[in-house]
Amino acid sequence: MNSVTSSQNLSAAKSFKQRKWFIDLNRKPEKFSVVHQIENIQPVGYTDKTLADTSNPEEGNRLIGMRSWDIATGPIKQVPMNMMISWMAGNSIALFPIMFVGMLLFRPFQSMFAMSKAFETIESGQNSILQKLVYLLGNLVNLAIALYKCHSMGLLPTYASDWLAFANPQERLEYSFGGFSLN
Amino acid sequence: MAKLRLFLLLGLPLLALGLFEDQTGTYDWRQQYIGRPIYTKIVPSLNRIFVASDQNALASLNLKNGNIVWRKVFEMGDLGKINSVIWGLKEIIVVTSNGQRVQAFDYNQGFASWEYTLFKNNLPNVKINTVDSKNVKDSFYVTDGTGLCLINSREKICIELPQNFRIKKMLESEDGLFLVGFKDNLSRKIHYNSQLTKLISESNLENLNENLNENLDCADSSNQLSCLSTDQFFILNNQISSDQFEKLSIQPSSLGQDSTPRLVWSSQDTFILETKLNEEKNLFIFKQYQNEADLVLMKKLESVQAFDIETIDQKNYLIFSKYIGKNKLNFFTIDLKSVQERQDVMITVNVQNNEDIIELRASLTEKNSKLSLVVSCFFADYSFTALNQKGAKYFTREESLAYIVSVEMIDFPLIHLQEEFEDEFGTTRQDNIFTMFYKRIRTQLVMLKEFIQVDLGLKLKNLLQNSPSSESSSDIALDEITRDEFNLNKVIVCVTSVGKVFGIYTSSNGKILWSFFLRNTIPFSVNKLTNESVVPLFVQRTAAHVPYEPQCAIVSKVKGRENSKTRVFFFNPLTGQVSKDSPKQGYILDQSVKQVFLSSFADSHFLRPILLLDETNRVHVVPENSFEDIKTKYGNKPTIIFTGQNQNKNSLTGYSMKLSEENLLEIWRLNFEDEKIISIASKLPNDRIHSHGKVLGDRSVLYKYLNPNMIGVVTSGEDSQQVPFINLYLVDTVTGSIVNSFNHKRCRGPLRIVHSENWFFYSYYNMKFRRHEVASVELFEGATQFNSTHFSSFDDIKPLVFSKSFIVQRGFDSMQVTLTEKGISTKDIIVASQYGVILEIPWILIDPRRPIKMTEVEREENLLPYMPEIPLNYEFTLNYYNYVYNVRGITTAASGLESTSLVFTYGLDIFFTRVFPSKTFDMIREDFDYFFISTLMIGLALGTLLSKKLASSSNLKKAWK
Repeated sequence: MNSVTSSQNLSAAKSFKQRKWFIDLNRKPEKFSVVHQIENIQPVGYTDKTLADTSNPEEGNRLIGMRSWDIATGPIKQVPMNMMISWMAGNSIALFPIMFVGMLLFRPFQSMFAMSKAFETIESGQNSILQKLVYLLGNLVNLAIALYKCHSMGLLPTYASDWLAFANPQERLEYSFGGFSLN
Repeated sequence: MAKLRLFLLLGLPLLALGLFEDQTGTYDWRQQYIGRPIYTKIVPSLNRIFVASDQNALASLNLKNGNIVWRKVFEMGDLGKINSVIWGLKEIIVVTSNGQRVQAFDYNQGFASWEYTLFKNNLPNVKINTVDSKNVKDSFYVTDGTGLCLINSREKICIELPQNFRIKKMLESEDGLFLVGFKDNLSRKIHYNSQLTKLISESNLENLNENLNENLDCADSSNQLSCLSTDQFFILNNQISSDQFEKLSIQPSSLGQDSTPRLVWSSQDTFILETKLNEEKNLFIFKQYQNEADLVLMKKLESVQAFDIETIDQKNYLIFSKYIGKNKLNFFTIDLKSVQERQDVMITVNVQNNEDIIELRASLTEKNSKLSLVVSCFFADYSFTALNQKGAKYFTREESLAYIVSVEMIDFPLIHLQEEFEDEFGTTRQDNIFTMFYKRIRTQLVMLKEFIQVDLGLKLKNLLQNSPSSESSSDIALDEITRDEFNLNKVIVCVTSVGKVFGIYTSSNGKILWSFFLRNTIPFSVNKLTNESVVPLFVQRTAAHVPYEPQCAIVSKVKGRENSKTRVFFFNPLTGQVSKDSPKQGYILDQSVKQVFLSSFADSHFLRPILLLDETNRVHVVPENSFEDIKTKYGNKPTIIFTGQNQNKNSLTGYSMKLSEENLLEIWRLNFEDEKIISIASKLPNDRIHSHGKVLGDRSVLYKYLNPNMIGVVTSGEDSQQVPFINLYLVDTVTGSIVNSFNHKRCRGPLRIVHSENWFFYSYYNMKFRRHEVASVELFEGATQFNSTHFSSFDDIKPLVFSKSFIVQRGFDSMQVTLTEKGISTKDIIVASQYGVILEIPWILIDPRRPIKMTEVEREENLLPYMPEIPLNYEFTLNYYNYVYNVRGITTAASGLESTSLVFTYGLDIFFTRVFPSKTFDMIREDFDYFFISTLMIGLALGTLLSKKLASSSNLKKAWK
């Protein structure tokens, strides 16, 4: 660092004020000042002493576990909220309840498909299968709530009446014709 | 396009019920008729022709164009029957309702100026004699044989006639009123003074006794009575003031072969006799010279169609008509004084129909000693025409449209390239694959050209001109009519009881596209109690089977000996032409038939043949060449033919149908001992059922009892206390078992009933409460279906029955259920109520499941709580102020739009409209704001594009920072 500043000879006095720095390539080499090599320069706060590693490797795993359990139980934690929303939305077929139900239905699927992505950020621990299972289960519970909501709103074709329009007309086995006798 | 626009603009009532004022007459139309005239008077000075008809109508027509100026329609049936009409000087005097009522109407506007009740007897088919009095000013004598009344606008004087006096003639002279008739097998003459205050004399008519004959043929003129004694060829002439008849003899040989001539007219010395031989009418004019006893034949008029006698200035003229050559109708006038033909008063006219004239009325007017003649003719095909002296037709009215008995609505073909298709598909099998390919390509090219020319061209033209009305003003060419986008326009094929058949276009105010007259048609009489007659009409093939023509069939009796022959006539319903390869005069069956129906299967040519059951219980298939096809298709399927009788015995009999030469076996019979069958209701053959069940409020299903073989039989009778009742039996016609029955005590007809899907709806009169009531019955299988794929009448199903009765304000003349394309829309009831109003009753109001106490589930199902009354709101009225009278039937048809059903009512008037039973769910409302929506859409699209662009540019800017 010093060497660089030293090489900045401010010979051109005229332009001194105008220029912050410049390199005069026409300078004679003897005019170079000696650059002292400073050795053993250390970064600030650097010590040569070796310190003992006091951190616990188990702790990291614990944190990863905690974090992944957090992710895994996320869907389950939404269950009371979803139930609340479903109850609040009511059973009438209107725009907002339908939007809620759509969200309820859509979100579990979304998060199920994004499962690997959700767990990607954390290194897989030993419990990863179990956590994924819990995660899946939570989503399924949410899905079940959504389906139940659909059912209670009457959006699921679960009754015979829902299939009535698709039934074929009954074929008649006997025929009959007639009326008043003509005269 | 124009149609679509018209439709979108006007055909979409906001509510299914009710119209806006500007919607009147946009798709509905009415045509008014009079019926067969029984009394006609032409008044050229008023430019009017006055008609009283057998359809209980009195009308004034414009002589020049035949339009109805005013019309009075009396009650339906015997109550409003016109017994007699006097064309008075100032008023028209009409005696109606078997002589119970007399009314006077003003000539100009038809205002009723006065009215009296007359005779209380109410004898059916009573003969009312009337005389326009000369002695008492503006007064009229009316008698029904038991009483005699002198009526005028001020008073009514009535006296009783002697008991057992059967009146023959009533005439008036200066001395008073004379009644001639029979009493105790003696001919009597009764003489009253003009005011009917005094019986002047009562005497026997000596000579008449010898020639005593109930059917004595008498004619009267001012003060002379002439009677024809047929056995001896005498005319008994009598100056009414004297009791003696003078005998005037006729040379029997002069009258030709007819042994029963009739005296049709007489005056002082002139007598006109009419003979009929082989449907040919001849007239003989006789004259008496200087009180000689022998009459001289002055003129013989041969093959006279019809005649009339007009009197001007005490001069009598005989006007008669005659066909000379084909289609050339001539009217001659004979001065009866000189018995000379008046060459200056003659009409020659070309007529298309070439039919016999049933009634001729003539009117002679003298102006500057020049006679001018106006005649009105009523032809055998029930067309009514007025002609002037130059032979110019004033108008022709198709009065047979007041006698429609059967109606079908026929779809137009999708394209009018029928010939192309015939060329493509209808050829022989010699075509090889290349020619067929070539034909195919050619047809499609023609279709493309047609599409560009006709469809696009027309649409563009209409768009540019922006005048949808241009279409309606131009004449419609029959072969150019194709189906419109929504299949809303059809041909209404109407068969009338006189044998005239019409094809009426549902659009352009019911224009008659074609018509033809089937001579010698006699309708079948069904249901003797209601005097209903029918000429069955069947659609054998629709326009959908393109290489083949559409075909309809009319079945009727043929006039002839005992009228025992049956005719099946085939024709193309779109053109009114006789079908190809069928006999010109139809297929004649020598037996009389007792049941006619359309086969439920089509033969290999997509034609559904007609099956006829003759008197000996044998089945005939017409046309015969489809017999084998039908036989294999029916195979072993059990088929029952049932027939109900209400003449001698009241029974319903079922026969098992076999397509062979054998006589059918009776397999069941229901005897209604003392009850008379008054109506039989079965499903419409084209009734579509969309859903098997009803969805309840808790989303479970109540399955309908959809028995296709079930009919409703309504009987009436009296119990041991002479209290009338009505029974409805729901009969399964395959097994002959009674599914259910309903009894209404103290009720009577008029009864109307309709049956559709799994329900019945009927109306009757409750005598106890003196009100009209309706009842609906609905049958269900229950929460489960016995068999979801097949229905057999032999299945052990006990249907659940719901029924409710309701009170309505009016009685119904006719009733029908709406039909839609797929049967998804609710089925409403169209009724023609008395007083000329057509109503649409929503099904929701007559649902028999309307609960008395509402539960949550039922509320969820949108049922209305039960209320005894059905409020017939004005919004239900389909024909607003276009009242139609004496409606005898209603026909409904499906259109291409599921929401829309077409309704056609017929009776004295015909009326057509569209109804929307479930409201217009498949159409855009008329108040739809196209401008707003399209601006909004375009604005949104532009906004999206703009904001996308802005967003991307702002993102770029952000990236540069």
